[in-house]
Amino acid sequence: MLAFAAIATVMLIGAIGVVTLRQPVHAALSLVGTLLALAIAYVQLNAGFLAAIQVIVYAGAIMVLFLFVIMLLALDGEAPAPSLTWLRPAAWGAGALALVAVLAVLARDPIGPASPAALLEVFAGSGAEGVADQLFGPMVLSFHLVGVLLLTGIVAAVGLVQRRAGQAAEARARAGRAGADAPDAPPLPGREPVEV
Amino acid sequence: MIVPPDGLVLGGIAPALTLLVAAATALILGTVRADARQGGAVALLGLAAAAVFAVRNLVDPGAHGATFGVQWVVDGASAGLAVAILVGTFLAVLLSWDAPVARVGDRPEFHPLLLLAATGGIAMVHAGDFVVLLLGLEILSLSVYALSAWRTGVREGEEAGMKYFLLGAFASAILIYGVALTYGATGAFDFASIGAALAAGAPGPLALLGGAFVLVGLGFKVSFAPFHQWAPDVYTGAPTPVTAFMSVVVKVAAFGALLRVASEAWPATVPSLDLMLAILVALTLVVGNLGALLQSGAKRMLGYSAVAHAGYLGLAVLAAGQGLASPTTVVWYLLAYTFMNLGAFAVTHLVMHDDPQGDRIEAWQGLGARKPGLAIAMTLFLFSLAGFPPLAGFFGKALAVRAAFDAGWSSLAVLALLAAVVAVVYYTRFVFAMWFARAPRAIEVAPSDAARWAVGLAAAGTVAMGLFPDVWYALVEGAGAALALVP
Repeated sequence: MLAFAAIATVMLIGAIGVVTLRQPVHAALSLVGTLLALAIAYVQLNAGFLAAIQVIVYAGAIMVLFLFVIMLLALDGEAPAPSLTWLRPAAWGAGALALVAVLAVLARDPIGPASPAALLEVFAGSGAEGVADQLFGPMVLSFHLVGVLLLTGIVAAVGLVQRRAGQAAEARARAGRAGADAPDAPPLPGREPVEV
Repeated sequence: MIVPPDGLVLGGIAPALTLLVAAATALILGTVRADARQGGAVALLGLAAAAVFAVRNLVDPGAHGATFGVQWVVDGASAGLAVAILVGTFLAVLLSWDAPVARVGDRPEFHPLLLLAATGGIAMVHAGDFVVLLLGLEILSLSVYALSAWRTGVREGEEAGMKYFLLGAFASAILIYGVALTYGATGAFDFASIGAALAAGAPGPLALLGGAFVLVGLGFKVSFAPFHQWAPDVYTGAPTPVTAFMSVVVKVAAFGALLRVASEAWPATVPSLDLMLAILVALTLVVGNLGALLQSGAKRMLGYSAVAHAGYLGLAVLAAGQGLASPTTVVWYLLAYTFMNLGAFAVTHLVMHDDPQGDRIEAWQGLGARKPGLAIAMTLFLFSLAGFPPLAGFFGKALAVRAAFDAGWSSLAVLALLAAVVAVVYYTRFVFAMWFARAPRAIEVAPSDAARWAVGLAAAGTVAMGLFPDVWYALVEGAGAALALVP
């Protein structure tokens, strides 16, 4: 129980840090803290596979994606111009409403500490074997469809990016036709055609 | 040791597998030689092969039945809708065949995306649970988002893609929310178990909220009012062959999914969901038909007409969902709609040629004198959409209205009949412009024989379904549109 209290405190501090820190990178690192603490909580519940997946997928892959986006957008600590002024109070209101709802549910059906036996039963199927049984058993069709979905996303993205490349090539061809006027028209920055 | 799951029958998913193989082939060939015709040829071959499997499923659905547990259901309705999706995609590929004219096939990803979208649509109509439905919907939507923004350097195109993407992602989120709430209420993803759980006891607020969210999410895809606003804008901004594709394939797939959810997952003991669907249908009939009255461009007019037709299809789904009409009605209407709507967009594509404003009503003036063949075809499509006998659209609307009467929604049926009268006005405006107005200028249509073939095939389909309505009906009905209708 004591260990859980410590982990929960770390999670909460991390979560509060995500929404309050000014620097996007700091907020992202704060999120890593929460995700890692959550992984430890999984280990405490005897769900080792979930904990590993949590670290690899969320703390690993998704965080890298976040950092890339922050880097590409070159966000610094400046507060963005408040274009939607109603958004901030609305967000606070929605958060408060959710908190009240959770507390109301807790007040109606208080949750006592679960017995270790019940916990073990709930997490019995969460080992690698249990997940694999589900994934490659009853859900095998969905599993493959997810693969098709990812392929579709890649093909769509490549198709749209190729379009940019085509435009740049056209622009250069036009510049080439213009001939003597602009013999050394530089290619548009960042829009070089993709060699396939 | 590898143990195959119980009931693994590949025959049922053969159409989807064939399309995937064709998409992969077109992608790989596209890296070797970027040629639009090559991608188109692979796509046409793949679609034809997939159609063979789909027709086989339709003729003998019992051979496969449910496969992959209950995740993939093969019956008359799903096989018939798969045929409609394949027909629609085939005609759309013909439309985009002459890439320099269509300005869409210039990158080798175009045709693979069309094929992947069709695969997603086929997964949706065969889905036996919400997981496959959702994945199919996302595969279809992702491809169509990219395709609708395909034109280079056209602001309307990018606006269309962006608008469709943002609204579509929002609708998907609502749908997922609905699926999660439904799972919370019933503990199941597959439609049969959900239906059984809801029929067993009084559905709580959780189940109703989940059902409402699912209805909104799917209602966006089939463009029910008031979730229809994207349709006219996206139809106008997307390249015309893509518009033709999405106007039929997305609609067939989404209505197939809605039909199955309404008839299997929502038992007749939950009347509130039927009432919600009825209200949406009534709104759609009014908004679609009145909106179409005000349009002067053919693409926007057809966009609102697509909304109006969603109303008629919704009537049929409503009746079939209650088990009071045959789901074959919906399947029949959707194939008819595929032919006539795709045909109308095909002619629009030819007439617009290179001019983004070329679908305005002025551009149609005098088409009857200059290009009588195209004008006759367009007249056929528009009259069919308006519901004149003996064309396909007449039987579609008649079947839908009759289904509504049978199911006891007589006020909705009367509203649908009134709306059909209004519809005559906006369709015949274009017919009058073609035949009875003088051409202000020489009319130049796009030089594409393949697109002409698409027009011809669609016209043949529209007339044939009107003259022999019972053939397709009997085929689907005979296959036992074996939706597990909950009485």
